[in-house]
Amino acid sequence: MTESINPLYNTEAMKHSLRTTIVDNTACGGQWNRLEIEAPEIAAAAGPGAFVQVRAWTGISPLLRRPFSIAGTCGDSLIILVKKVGTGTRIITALDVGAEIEITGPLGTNFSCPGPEQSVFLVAGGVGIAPLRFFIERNPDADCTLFFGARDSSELAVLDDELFENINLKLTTEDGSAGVKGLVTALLAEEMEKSDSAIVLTCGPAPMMKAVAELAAMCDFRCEVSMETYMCCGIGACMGCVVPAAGDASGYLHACTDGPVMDSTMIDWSRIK
Amino acid sequence: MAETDLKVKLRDDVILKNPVLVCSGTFGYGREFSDFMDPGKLGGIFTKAITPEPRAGNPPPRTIETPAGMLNAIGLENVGLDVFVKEKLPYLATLDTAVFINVAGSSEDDYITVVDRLSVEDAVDGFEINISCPNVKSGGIAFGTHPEPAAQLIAALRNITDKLIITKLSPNVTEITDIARAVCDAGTDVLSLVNTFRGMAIDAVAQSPVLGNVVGGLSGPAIKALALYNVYQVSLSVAVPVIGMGGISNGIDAVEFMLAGADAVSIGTANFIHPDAALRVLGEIVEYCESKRIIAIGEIVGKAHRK
Repeated sequence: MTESINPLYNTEAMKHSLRTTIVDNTACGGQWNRLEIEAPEIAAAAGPGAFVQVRAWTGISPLLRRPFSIAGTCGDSLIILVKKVGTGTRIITALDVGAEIEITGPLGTNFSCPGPEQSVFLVAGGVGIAPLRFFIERNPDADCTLFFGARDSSELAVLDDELFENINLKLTTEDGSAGVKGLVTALLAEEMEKSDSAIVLTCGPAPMMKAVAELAAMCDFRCEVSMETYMCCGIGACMGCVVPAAGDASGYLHACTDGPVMDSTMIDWSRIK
Repeated sequence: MAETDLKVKLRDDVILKNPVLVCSGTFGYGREFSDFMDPGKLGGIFTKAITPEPRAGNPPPRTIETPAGMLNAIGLENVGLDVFVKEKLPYLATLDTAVFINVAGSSEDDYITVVDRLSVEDAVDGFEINISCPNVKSGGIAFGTHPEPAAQLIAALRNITDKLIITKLSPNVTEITDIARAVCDAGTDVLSLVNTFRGMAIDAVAQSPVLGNVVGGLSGPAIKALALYNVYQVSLSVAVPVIGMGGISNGIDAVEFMLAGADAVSIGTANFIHPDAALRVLGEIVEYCESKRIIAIGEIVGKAHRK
């Protein structure tokens, strides 16, 4: 119902559906794998925030493709970070190099480009670091601070990446096994108090993003969130992946076409658990 | 050998160029798929359901995957009649394929409003009357579970339009053939079946229903055998053409539905798995026909019937 209201929507990107192969698949701590997938058309068209849908099996169970934010590009390949949560992600993380995979993308909206000398606060919860990594790749000169909230130190291997070498990193773990013990939003609140202005880009669990959006609103900082929902078609046809819209008590946005990246003020956070 | 004649006659003035359509609610308004395939190559398109006013739909979660299938409870979210005419129909009008408007509503007047307005549009080849949405109390299912109200609605629509009327039947009834016969007597030109089967998913960790709407409609390969039997039964009991749907994901599935009595088939959930699924199915139907030396696709329709 609420179409084309997101100024971030990259309507120019041609979408592609490819049958291709895995170039690299590496475990990177915790329950995550970093996959490189050969997809030159998608890599060329993708912007930070966009996602792909992936299927790496031929049968009917699991059935639907699985959505992943693009974590970056590497030549003709796309990088995705996959956390093992169910049958589909276990199959994908177990793929051998050279294995076949179907991939559709780039789908959805992108994060805004930062203005010159604009500070950028990137707030990642766990595997939500994926699209923010792509943002850093595409904005190498941006003044970025990365707030990374992990469950424990086993999830830090993802930071072992030259892309993060020159980034100001603020680290928290829930169990205190690395960085500051607690939630990433506590560190963010401290930094926001010290800062005059910054754009906040975030991806992670919904309660974290809700807290980040509230902090940003209090400080009057622009905030963009990457929303995750159950998703079927990924291209705006099925109307399944809805996010409650602000200013319309019963209205919805669609994570696949209005998002996944949305300005945080577009969302009615009171209806998100 | 000569290529198989794939044309399907639904009525003297409505002839599909091939027997593969796409199901309402799985193909948006057509344009969404245009990066991946040419929707003009399809036999026809069933649009997302249209109601007179825009509808916001049900609270999330609206979908969940289940074994070899999925549940949805979208709740007829759609842009409404006016926006459909202004923003969606012009694209559909450019396609060299049959366009059938799926019509839903809470009252007879809702259906009449949509059918009346769109009957004047050249781009519209007909209507699929949705009396079978399982996800909205006032979404038409009230008309679809008993022969009399179903027949009354179809008769009222028959009075106001000369365009093709396709009635979409619900499988969530005791005797689907009673409803099929009643809507045929009332003037429907074609039947399409089946809509989704009512089902639910429960989150064992949260100890609560997964879907915001609690109940949803089951689709995908999980329902294929159920849908096939409904098509078989209904096609034996009516004389009008039947469009079969329910878990079709490849050409052989489609051929099975035609052998069971479907004149044409429609692809639903498979569109979410491969955005060009419907054209893949069409290609596989053609391969089957060539291997069996079939001259006209109609030859296989109902061939599996044991009377």
